[in-house]
Amino acid sequence: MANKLRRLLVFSHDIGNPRVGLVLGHARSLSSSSPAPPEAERRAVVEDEKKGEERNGPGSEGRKVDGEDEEGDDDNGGVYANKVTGEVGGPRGPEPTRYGDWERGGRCSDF
Amino acid sequence: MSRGVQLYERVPAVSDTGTTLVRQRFCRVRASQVQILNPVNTWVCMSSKFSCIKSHCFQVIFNRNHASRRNLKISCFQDSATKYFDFVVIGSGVAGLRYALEVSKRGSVAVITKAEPHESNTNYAQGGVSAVLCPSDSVENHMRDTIVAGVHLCDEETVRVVCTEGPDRIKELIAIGALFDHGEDGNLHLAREGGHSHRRIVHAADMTGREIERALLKAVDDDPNISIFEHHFAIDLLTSQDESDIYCHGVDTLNTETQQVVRFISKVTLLASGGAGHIYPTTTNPLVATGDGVAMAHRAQAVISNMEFVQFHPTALADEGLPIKPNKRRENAFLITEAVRGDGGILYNQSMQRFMPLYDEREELAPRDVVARSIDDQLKKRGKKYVLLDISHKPRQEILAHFPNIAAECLQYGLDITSMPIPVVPAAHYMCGGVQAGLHGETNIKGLYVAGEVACTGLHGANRLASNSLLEALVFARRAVRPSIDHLECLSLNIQDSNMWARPVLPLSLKSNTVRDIMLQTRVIRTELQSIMWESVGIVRSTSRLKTAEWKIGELEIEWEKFLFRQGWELTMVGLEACEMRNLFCCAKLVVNSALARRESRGLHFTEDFPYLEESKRKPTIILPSSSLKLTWSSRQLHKEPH
Repeated sequence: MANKLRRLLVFSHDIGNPRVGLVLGHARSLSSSSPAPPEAERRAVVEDEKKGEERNGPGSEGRKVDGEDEEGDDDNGGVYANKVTGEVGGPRGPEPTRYGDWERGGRCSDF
Repeated sequence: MSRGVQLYERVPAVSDTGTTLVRQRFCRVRASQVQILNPVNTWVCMSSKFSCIKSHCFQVIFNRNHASRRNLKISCFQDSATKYFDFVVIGSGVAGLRYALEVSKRGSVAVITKAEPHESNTNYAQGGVSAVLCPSDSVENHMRDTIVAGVHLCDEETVRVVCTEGPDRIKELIAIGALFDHGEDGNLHLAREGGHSHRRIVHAADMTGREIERALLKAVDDDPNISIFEHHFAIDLLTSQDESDIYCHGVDTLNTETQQVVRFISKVTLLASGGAGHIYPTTTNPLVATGDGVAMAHRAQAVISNMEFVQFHPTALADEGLPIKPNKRRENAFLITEAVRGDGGILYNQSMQRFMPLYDEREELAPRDVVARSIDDQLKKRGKKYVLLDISHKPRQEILAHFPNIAAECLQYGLDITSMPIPVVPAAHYMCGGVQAGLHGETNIKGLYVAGEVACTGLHGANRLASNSLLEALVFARRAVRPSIDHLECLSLNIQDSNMWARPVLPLSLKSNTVRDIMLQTRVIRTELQSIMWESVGIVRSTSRLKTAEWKIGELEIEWEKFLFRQGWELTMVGLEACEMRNLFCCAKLVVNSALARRESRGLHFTEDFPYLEESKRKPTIILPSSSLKLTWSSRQLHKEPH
């Protein structure tokens, strides 16, 4: 069983999966040919967002459900601009690609 | 003979003068006999030039009285028609439309699409398109990310070309009218997806594919040299052969709205027909993705490559596990984001055992392909149809805030994700392999070019990097233009006798009950084929299961064909379900044969019997045309059937 399980692992490679660095911090890469993923940058982005949520206090989840985002503003003539990424007219809430795939509200549309 | 005019009227109507507008009727009449009246959408085709000009300005009325006059030649073919174009494009996704817009500057273009023009994998490609657009990024970086994702099976020259030309293709798209998201600094906003070392994904909110499709369709609609033929299903390529070369002269189609066969004769053909997700039971692809292009090309003796590399997403919503089953089969899968696992979601099998720790110390946070294999392994071992992804241990409000789309979708079917686990199953998403293409989209068939998902250009190798598929389609559609024009210009003016290939026929001689029975049984057969593919040609493969699949698919195909012909179906008969079925059989066999041929595990192809990478096997899998005399109905062009 152990051999079989190891076989399932051996050739798969970490292609810069940001979660790995984020959660474990020292996950071993299964492929020596993969470039070291810039996990620090990704971790910083996700942590910033988490801090944003904490800063907004316990009511933040409720506000998110209402569709408002504390991080953006409407200075651009009513168009939403994301303070963290600078994106204009983009999605409110967490960065769609924060876990590597492209998601909106939980539905993945690209990976 | 006087110069005739071919007329195609779009809308049937009866005017108050008692004359009739005839839909889709091919007629050759003297121009002087035709009255030009009110504007509607009509094509006027000057037959002596063999080019077609779409005109918005003509509504043509045939006065029935004229039909009896001797000096009027009207040949109206109720059952079939032949249309002549310089370029024929099969498929209306990003590759087909982008190409059409370029070549229309040099000749007449027909775009053939089997449903509505927007119904393509492009329209469902919601993430983005990747390109090097940031000063701190580089072509070398993009190349490296692509090659690593492709597990070094990519063709390096192809990768270089695509990564280099990407930025210009994006700029052109913007010039055509595609609207992408910008940052406050006014530059394109670039996102970063898994596998990319830099921010380089250009996107339009989360509807990039749809936006690109919208912009291209609008430009195509505005282009008088391009005619779109909706609901025209491509049946087989029209080819001829001399000693050493095969030539493509066009394609036979079935107009599924009017049930007429329409033959397109062209000097150049671009195959851009997309994917083949429906060889599997659960897929993100729309219903049109039945592998028609790969099948037609294989029957026409094009070289096919790397069909074993089918990309799956590990966690699509499994309808079988929902408390209330959907009324009708979901057409394209609802993918559950990795963010659910990232936020703490746990995977269980149906015995409520957490299984990921058995496979990887990173557990649910292991890379996507490891998770996919683990789920597949669990399903096959236990003979189950889905596993469970449970996020219900997290606070309710957090779940609803982060995953409102999943919550809403599941609630429709009686599942509350804040208190129950989500049933999930892997879904087929993208075909990395396809018709082998050179650096300009050329194939081994003269006059036939390929672009987009139907092509195997060498970009993706053993696994596609996110957002590279739209990019590949754009780059190759553009690159195929020059050789297409060169080919057009060096062809002689002699038009092939359009009758040198036997015409497909409709099953008019069969009773409608019989036709209905055939349709129903074909659907049953399709479900069985999909089931075999999932059970035996899924994510975790083995030589014995692949051999079983090979045998079972062969038997199923024989069983289906026997049934068809016992009902009176003839070799040159066509119908949408039957033609899709023969294409699905063809693609399924190509995937199985390719998987059997690769005796190593690399990227998307994993086999228990050869679970490691082998450097000596770092080559594409090539399938050459079948030379066997015992060909099935699915593996021979219709017009080559003995009749």
